[in-house]
Amino acid sequence: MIKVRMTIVRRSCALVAALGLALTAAGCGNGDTAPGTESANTIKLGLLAPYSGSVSTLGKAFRDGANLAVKNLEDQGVDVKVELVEGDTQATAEAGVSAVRRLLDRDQVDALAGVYSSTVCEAVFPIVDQADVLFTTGACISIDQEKWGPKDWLYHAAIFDEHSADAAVGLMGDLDPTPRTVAILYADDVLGQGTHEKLMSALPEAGYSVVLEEAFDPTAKDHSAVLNKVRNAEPDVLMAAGYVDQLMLITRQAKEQNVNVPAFLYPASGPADPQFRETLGADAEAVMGVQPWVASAAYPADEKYPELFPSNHSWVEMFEAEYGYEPSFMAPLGYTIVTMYGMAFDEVRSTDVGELGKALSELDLQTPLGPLHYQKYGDVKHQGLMRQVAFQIQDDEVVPLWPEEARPADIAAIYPHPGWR
Amino acid sequence: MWDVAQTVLNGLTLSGLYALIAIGLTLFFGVMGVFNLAHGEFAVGCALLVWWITARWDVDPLVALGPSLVVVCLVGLLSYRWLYEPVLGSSVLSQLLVAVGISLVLQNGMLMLFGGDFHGLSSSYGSRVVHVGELSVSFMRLMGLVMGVAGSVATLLLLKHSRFGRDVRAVAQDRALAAVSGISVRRTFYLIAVLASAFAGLAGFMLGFINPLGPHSGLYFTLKATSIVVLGGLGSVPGALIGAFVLGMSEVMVAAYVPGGAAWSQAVAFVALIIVLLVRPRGLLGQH
Repeated sequence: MIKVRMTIVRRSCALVAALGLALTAAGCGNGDTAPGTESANTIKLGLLAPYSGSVSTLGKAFRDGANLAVKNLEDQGVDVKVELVEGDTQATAEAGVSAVRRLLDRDQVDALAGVYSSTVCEAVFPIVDQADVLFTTGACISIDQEKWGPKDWLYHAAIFDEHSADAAVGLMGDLDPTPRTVAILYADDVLGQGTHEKLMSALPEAGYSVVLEEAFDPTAKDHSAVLNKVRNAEPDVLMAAGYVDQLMLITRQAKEQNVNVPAFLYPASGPADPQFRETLGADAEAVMGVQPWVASAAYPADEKYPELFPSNHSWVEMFEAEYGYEPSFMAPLGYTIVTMYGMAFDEVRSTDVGELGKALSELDLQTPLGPLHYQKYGDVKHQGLMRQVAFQIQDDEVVPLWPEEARPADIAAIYPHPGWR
Repeated sequence: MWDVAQTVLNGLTLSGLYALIAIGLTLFFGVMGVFNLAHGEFAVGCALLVWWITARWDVDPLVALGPSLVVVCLVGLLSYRWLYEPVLGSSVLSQLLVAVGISLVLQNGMLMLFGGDFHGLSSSYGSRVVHVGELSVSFMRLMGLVMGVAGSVATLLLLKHSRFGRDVRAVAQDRALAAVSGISVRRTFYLIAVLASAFAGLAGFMLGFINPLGPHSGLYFTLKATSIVVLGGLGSVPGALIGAFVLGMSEVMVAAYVPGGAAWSQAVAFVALIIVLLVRPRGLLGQH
């Protein structure tokens, strides 16, 4: 009996030792390298995005755009190796904090790039603030600009809430007859509250009257009560601020509740997301939205680096040829951020915040996202994009309407809304 | 007046959907004594499966419902047989861990099969809106109300007036005594697992026409159903029906008539739950 027990103990010990060795070997083989041991032409980028969870499609698009950038840098003979390490934020503050700690402490990345969402950004910024790395973000549109904007390490590629409000107000000014009254529904989260605040500043200033403002729970699956209020308020424009699932639900329920307003203008990127049109079908027609990028925008190639930044049209073709799906905003964002890191690193061969940041700031490019040059903007030291594009769904396509120079000559706004069919 | 009527109608249709999703959960708990935290995933899984079949073969969602329900019931049966059954006599913690595990596996399975996007079901009847005077309501919401009430009544009748129902009640009261009386406890459990999954699948089908659903939408519906089941009394079908109406009407009324109520109407479920548990810990119609 004792002999049998000893055998079990020995075997257990051997198993534990073997597992330990296997884990050690796996740890050694996962590509981690101590800082300073990499070759001088390698930069290790941590990509923070929601690769799982309810908005994992955004993370996938960001990843695909980033990988396309790495491939294109290699194809064009740029003598740098960009190594990408992913950190899954799951679009939650808790997972975001965990992911950024892993990227900084275990993976020891040289710089960070990240998207989605402002809540995650506010949670991870204090950690990045303690680390000596650059963070280029393509989201964080509702962050505290006064607090985080002056940070040397923050490169804010994306737009802010006020750009969404500006584009929405700009488009309203182009509509004929000009709308006068607006109802605002907004998700009771960082994005919704931020957009609401900016709208409440921009709309009265431009002479519009806000007849209803109502927050809704971002997790709610029923908006019938607030839509009933919208119907009673009879606004010229219904604005809803939130993420794509919330906007889909509001649009669908607006039809169910027979909420007929002349314009559904969402100061958010949701309506441009392919799933918005796929899920709503004909009910998505004539819905307007705002986002930093539209696939059909006629941005030209960069004059100096046309191979790295081709025209928007060519870039979309390149992406679709590689991945076989229509890119959302996150894809050119991932592409642009990673390509810019590669170019900046190629210039200075250093991951020092000051040197790499200076090289990033000196880039003045025409990207698939439009003109991008980091410059001071209010409290923000390094702000990239400066303008949103207002668009409308027409014949299942996202067409730019505002600013005027982004709108193709043969396109006009469908206004007023044709009513629910 | 129309405004109040519209609000009441909104509350009633929401309550019907809540009832439909809560029936399966209360049945499962009432008989097996296990909280199936993956209930919402079964509902969402059915909706996504219907969406996938309709998108792939261009068939009507109703045609896709049959095979989708078969798959959902099969997954429900197998997950019960292989995962819940072994922990039936174990601690509540073990059962909850298994339930959470099933929920996570189903979520990630759906993510792999259907991707992370939200999808909705569509058809000519699915997009129909019924107008009566100033009132508007979607046909599918009305159907949800009808199915929620009819499903509860039918389940109640089945349990009260059929041989199967008698077996179920006997097993729920005392498994050992039911077994020595010649009732196959195992078979009863399997049938309840299938029935609960079928109700979840039907609820998912209706929800698919109303809400855009993604692989991670299930938890929301599980939490709603759990609140309703606890509110109405664990294992009580009429309790679940009443709980669904209390919750659905309260949420809509708070969102409609309390200033700023839409921002926190979702908290109504938990406030109601706390009040009921303090005043009547066994729920509105609970026996234990």
